[in-house]
Amino acid sequence: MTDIRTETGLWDYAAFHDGQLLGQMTFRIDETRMTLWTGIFEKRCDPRALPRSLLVSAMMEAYLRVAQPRPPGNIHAGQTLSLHGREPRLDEVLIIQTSVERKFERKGRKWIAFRSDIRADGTRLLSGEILTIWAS
Amino acid sequence: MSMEQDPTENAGNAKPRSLIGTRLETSAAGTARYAALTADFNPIHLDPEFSRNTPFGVPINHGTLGLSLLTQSIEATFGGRSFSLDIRFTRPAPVGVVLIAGGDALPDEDTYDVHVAIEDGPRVIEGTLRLSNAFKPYQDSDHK
Repeated sequence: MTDIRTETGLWDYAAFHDGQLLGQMTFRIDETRMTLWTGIFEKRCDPRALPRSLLVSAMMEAYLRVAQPRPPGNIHAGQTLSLHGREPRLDEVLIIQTSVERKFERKGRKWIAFRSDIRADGTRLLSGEILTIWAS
Repeated sequence: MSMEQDPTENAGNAKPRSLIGTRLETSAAGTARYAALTADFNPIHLDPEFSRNTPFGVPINHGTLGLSLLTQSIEATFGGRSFSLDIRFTRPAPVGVVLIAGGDALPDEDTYDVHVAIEDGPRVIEGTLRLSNAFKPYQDSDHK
């Protein structure tokens, strides 16, 4: 994992560049995560074909783990998301890669689009962009 | 969570006019679970004391909680079909509100205006859904 945080220890805007790989992690949607999901949405899960919204939470967890500590006040402003068909399965190994797609300034604000890709067994399950207004 | 609409309204092969709505009563307990699920323990979602000093005044739901609800609305309507979403988080949703996700068909083929709204209130997520033409798991080799 590339780590070029500044002296403050925070990921500030200057530390990011287009195409930068922030991290790749292995991840499992385990019993604990499935139980949390069922508690939130009051729905049952089929362990062989979990709800694909669990990929959304996996994407966010992976992003939050690699891009921290973050300055307070960041805003998650937008999101693109492609779900490519197959559902994740309980406890299967997911590979989640998080990178910087691009950064840009607009109307005095600093924007960063983080890209997330989730694969399992060579199959892409999710790809998306987390569009963030960076606080500093 | 509950379904908001009779799925039989979308029966048949015609393009459904609307998505099957999904509904979620948000709560501090649910927000705490979602924080644990995503490892996002930002106090703006969890701590009333902290949130009192923010522009919102109260804890707000994680934006992706609404996005997850919208994803479930899409799955309830189209099953395992591949799709792409492009959305904006247009305003915060205080913890405790009821969120409703859904969408309406646009003239373009397989395209929908989608949203998550506070029940009897404003939209908090707005965007566009594009369905893929067929169920086809994406393979890495597709783009090699």
